[in-house]
Amino acid sequence: MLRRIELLLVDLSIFSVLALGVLITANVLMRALFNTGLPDSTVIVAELMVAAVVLPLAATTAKRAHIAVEFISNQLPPRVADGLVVFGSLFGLLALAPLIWAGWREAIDAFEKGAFFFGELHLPKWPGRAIFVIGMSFCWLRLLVMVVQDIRTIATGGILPVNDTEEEV
Amino acid sequence: MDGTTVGLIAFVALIVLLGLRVPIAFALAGVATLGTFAIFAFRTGVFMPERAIRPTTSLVFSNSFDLIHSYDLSMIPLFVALGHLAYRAEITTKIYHAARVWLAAIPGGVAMASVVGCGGFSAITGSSIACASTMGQICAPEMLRMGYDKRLATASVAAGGTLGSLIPPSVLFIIYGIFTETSISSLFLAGILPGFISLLGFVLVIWIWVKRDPSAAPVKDGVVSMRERWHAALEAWPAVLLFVIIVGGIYGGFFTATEAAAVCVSVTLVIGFAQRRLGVRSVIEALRKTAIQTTSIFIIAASAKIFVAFVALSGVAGDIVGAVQAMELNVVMLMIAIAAIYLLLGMFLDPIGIMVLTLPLLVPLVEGYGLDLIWFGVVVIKLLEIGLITPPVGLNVFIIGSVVGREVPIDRIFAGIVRFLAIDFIVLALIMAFPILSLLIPNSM
Repeated sequence: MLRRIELLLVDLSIFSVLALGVLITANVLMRALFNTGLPDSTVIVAELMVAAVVLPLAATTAKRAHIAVEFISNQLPPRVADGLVVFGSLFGLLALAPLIWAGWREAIDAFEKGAFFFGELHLPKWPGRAIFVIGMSFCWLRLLVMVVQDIRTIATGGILPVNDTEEEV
Repeated sequence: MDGTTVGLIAFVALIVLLGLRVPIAFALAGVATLGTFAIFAFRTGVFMPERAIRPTTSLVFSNSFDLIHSYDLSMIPLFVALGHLAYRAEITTKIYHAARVWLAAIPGGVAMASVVGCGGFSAITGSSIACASTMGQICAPEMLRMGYDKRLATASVAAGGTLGSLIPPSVLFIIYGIFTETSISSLFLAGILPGFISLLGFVLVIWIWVKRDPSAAPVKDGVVSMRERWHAALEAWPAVLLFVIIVGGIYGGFFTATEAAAVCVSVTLVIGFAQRRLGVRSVIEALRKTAIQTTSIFIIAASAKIFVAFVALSGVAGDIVGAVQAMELNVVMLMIAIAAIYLLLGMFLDPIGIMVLTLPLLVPLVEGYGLDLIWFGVVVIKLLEIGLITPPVGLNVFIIGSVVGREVPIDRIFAGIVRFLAIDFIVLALIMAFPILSLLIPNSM
């Protein structure tokens, strides 16, 4: 179930990247051809950026694709190195919790007060903040699941998988 | 407990956590949050945690959210997407093939073509590691098959891969621009000449290497007709077009860097579909990789932004700047000290990790000395590039090592890297001694 939601969030992120690319290109073309632009495109692109960047967080975590310094842990015995991986995830749970709480408070606040961006369309502020909370929350949940699974793996004498990201282009 | 003490404890805690393999983003965000909480809680001199919760969470949220909620930074996912799409549309590899055909008859020509190919790849994508990984898979096995010296075959691609960060577009320049609040367009333009000089330097190293030891690069297929050469050159037109859009568009004032990225993605999609090298499935695959890669970059940048805010709040940066200024170091000594720190860190940490750790302290220091932050950015990126090929953790070397497998041990690749490192240090000295090399193009806008 969590895996399916993560894939859906990644697909929404893909849509956001495409949408912001199309929006900016359309703006450039309209400026060049008609000396005008799309209304509030800066705000729309910024809101799409939140979706593009934050929604794949859980999938990135599941792929163990977070960048870490591995020089020291690579010199340690595998079981100690695996213990450090679990410690890293636990620290991640601690680090993300204030962000989720603050994001939730901001989203609710923006919704209740009807806060909006200045511009032609008066776009509301809450969607970007809500997307931020959703992305961060699923990342937190994935980290929690990984901590439990990793501890079980280590306890049964297994070895944790390495990150499964492929070539970066 | 005063802000400076909290700041210093936080720096030590951060280094310990990074050493314990805590992901960079989590370490930065966690330490910054706890440090900010401590500063607010001790503000009255007495520990009052209930007064610290609200300002801490506000600071943490606003800094991370405002960074992500940015029109300008949409260039990062767009440039990452451009790299993935151009690779699948076979645009990035065509430059190597063209250089390969033109330089085939010259001794060491394939190694030179690899470096030129890396330069071309860098002109479209923004990552050194991506450049080494992709070009390494194409060039290194081919050179080994042709009987090239194993050190030359591997080291030339590992070194060539470092061009990815200096030649625009560059993810590292974008991250540097975020930290220092300098123009990313100007940084891109500032990287062109130093990147080109580095490329020429690497070609020179290969030429001298093969001149002194002709057996290092046997010439096997030297006869290529002019027709074949021009055909290969014309095949590379999409890559040239994209580079012209990025650099010409920014320099000519037609686009911002963000707009150049979006236009290039659109052009690549049109060319890829028109040439039938892209399909819906390959586009989705490319964008999935884009999503994961962008997120892993941004989560660090957002956490680093929180950390920078915490450092500013603590006042530790001002104290360190004051302490360094009290030492009355001249600019040359300062730059030598900074270079030594970066080279040392480059032996163990990855480029993004080094930047987030050092820039919050170094930028106020460099500004205090009245140095140009665009020029300093080029120096920093060149130093980070050198770190990618220095032992024991030269990331590019390990990437090439994983491509060639057991055929070439890592220590042999490092042995070949030494000559390229020598030219890198000469180029670094030139960039540091003559800021005009970096500032000529951005200042002429």
